[in-house]
Amino acid sequence: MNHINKFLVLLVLFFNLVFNMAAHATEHDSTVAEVMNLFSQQKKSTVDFKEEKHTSFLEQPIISSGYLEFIAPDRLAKYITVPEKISNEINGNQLVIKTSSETHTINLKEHPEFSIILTSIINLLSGNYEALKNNFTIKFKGQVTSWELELLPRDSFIRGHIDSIGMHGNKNKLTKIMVTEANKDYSVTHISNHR
Amino acid sequence: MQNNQRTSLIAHITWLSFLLASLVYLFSSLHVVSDISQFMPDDHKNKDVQLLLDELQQGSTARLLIIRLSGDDTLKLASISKQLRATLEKNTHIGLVHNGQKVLNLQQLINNEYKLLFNYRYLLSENTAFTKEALSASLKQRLTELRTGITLFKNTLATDPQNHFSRFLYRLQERAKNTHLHGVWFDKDKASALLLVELNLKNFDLDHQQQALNEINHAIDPLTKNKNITVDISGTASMAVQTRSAIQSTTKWLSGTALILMSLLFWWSYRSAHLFFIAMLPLASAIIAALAITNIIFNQVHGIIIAFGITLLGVCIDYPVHLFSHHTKSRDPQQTILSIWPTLRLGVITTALAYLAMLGTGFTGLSQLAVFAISGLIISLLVTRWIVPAWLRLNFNKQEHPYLKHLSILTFSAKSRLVSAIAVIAFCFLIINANLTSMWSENISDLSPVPAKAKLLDQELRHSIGAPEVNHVFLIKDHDTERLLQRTESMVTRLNVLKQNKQVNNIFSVTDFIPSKQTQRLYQQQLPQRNELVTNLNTVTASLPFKKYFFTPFIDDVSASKDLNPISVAEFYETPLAKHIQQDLFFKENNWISIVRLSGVHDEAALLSWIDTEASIKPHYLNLRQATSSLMSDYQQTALSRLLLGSLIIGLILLMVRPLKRMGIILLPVVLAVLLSISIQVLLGTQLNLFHILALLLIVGIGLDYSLFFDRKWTSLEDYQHRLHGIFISASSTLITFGILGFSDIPVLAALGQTVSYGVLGCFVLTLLFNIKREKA
Repeated sequence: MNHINKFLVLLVLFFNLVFNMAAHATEHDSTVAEVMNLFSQQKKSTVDFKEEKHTSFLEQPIISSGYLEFIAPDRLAKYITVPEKISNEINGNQLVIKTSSETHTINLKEHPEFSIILTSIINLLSGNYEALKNNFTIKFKGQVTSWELELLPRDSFIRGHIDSIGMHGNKNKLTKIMVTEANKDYSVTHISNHR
Repeated sequence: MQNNQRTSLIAHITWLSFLLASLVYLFSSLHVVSDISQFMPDDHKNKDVQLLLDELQQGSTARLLIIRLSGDDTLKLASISKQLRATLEKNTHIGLVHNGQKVLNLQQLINNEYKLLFNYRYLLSENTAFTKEALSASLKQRLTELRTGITLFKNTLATDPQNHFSRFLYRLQERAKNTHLHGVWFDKDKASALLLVELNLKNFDLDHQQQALNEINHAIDPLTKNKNITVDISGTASMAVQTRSAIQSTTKWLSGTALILMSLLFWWSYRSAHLFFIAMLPLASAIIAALAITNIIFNQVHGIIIAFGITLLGVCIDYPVHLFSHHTKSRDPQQTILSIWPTLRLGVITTALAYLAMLGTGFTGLSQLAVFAISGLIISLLVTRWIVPAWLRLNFNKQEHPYLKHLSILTFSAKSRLVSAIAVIAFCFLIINANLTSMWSENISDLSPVPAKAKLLDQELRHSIGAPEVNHVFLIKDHDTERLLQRTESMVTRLNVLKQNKQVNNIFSVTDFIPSKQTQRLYQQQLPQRNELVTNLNTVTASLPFKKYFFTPFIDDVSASKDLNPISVAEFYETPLAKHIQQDLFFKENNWISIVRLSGVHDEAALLSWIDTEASIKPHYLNLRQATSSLMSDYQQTALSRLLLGSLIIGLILLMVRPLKRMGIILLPVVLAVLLSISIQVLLGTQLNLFHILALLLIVGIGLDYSLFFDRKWTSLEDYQHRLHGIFISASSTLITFGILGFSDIPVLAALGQTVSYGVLGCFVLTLLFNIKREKA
């Protein structure tokens, strides 16, 4: 009898655990799905940003600020306005970088290490979770109103350049992006004034 | 009779063993060459032109292919251009692929291949940007790049913060100065994307070229699939492959069609198709023997000679035709051949001797052709005399042709003959006189067997990609590379005036890549002393966020550069950039040769008059177009004068065997036919080249044959009809083969086909007009 009791207790505990995990997982999945759904409904957005780049050979971080523009499904532009004017525009397969003196055009397919950050932002903003899952192992935390995504590149070539990309947000508002490079240089971008 | 049989047996044994020996020899030793330069004179008066032509035909320029993508919107084209480049660069048969993309693989800079060049960066190109202002500007630029997210130069920031090395590499990449759109090369109208592909084949023969082209097409196909995109590929390799396939298809098509039509002709004339194959015996033997003999004498045979010579030997089919036409059931073939033998022999020997005139001109092409033609003609004569009759024992029913009756009762009055002769001469004089200056081609590429369409496309693509013009070239020779580079540098310095005055767009020289040691030392001296650099950098970095000592590797490298021994050409040849300089600097005939090219010449006349005033530059200037066109006209003049000499030989021989008046009557229709053929071509707007002149020699041979057969005394109306029949069939068969050839895609063969067709038609009509029913035995 005792044995049976013990067994029943274990059984209950076990099922409890399984149900709990399942419930947890579904809760996570449904949260992700909801966040992505919210993103996919947004066809256009503009935000301000402030970026700090910490590089091993610099005494102080490089700080730049400006605004980001997104038009679904695949147009993203990053305009730095302070301290100098620089634009990074993604249009389909091309990344065009313009400074006051130079223009660089980069094919995203050939240089995924340049574009992975911008494309991951595009994928998030367009709510394309599948594309994110294809490129990254994803860890998700939090609720719809305060979530965190940690993206770890699947591709070994990209891992040679980028360690991880972290994104924080509230519903379909991206609030913070953190990028850690393979050499431990990192950048933090704070996003505000969603419009 | 028995004697006859023995002779025939000996003849057959000799013939078969000769053929067998020739075939065995050809299989083991035939060496066919196909470069147009090998068709050129052995010792041209301007060696430099020959050298340059060789280099263009076989050197690194010949390894380049141009690809043009057009048809879709430019963004898609640009993207395909980039993808294509990425795919092609993985192929081991392909070396560099240029499409104007500013992509520098960082790995390239730091891996071992580029290590030496990287270490020599401050000696290979000038750098004087070490002042505080210049250093500050460079470093601020790098900070901007970091801000943009371009991490391309991050790994070399500490050693080369000015991006000096990458700028050196970019400068070389941008030699072509093409229009850019969406980051890749486009043509001037910004309608089609352009790529330059360098083949990297150890074995540069046609099969390997073909394979590489197939691989390129395979790479293109999936990218352009289901899209409305036109892809054009051109370059020496592509033209060579196209020429081969054009020749193959022409040969197949020509021999197929000719075979059918000739069989029909033989069936119609002799009611026997197998006679056609007997008629082929002298021709086939002639081709095999001629190939073997030419190869024995010259150790090689030019492809043009094979194609051209074989068609020239087409006249050999006329010899058995005369035999067949004169043959009757009642006669022994031996009797028939003996009855026409003197005429046949005279015709062949005079023609063969006329070809002798082509020997000893110094033009290898002409000599080879002469040997090929003479040996072929003699062999086919011998085979017609001693082999063909033995095969003719089978009875054949010669068809009674009503046209022969009509032809045989034709007569022309002496007056009408005179009038026609004067009319023909007047017609030819008017046309030739009016076009005397423009009727000759001066373009060497007219001699090349490349299909006209492919040639046009190549010109177009070369022009649109801004490849350096080969027409304005400066050539410097020296035993010593250092002296050569120094001389090249002073030449470029002088030529820079043209660039400053905007008379030319660009100047290309090997010293863009590797300066002379003298210049390298100068660059070295200009580098700052270590203390000076440290002071300047410290001042600049004080107001910038870089960490202290971060730029020590840069300081070390600059200091080390001051102690480097300048890099030599031999060392440079071991680096990955060696392939870039192959067309600008090469070793040939015991000399190092440096080629300086101009691109985008705005006013040729102004350039030429400027060069005239520059005593130090003028002797090095080569105008390839001018030089080759003078070479061409030399060639043509030689061929033409030898043609006249050959005709003179024919006249002299005839004069030895015929009275003067008869000689006149024999030669007049031939000469008129040659003039007519030229005039018709000129009237149709064709520019005559060497091959037209050589084709005239064939017309002379054929016409002489007709004329001599007409000149033979005839014994009966039947005999007269036999000869008419023979000449008619000969003319028809020649018209069939050369008429088909006239439609060929290959300009050389088309020229030959058309010239001979007009000429043979003229010969037939005119010999008929002047000789018909002249005399009866």
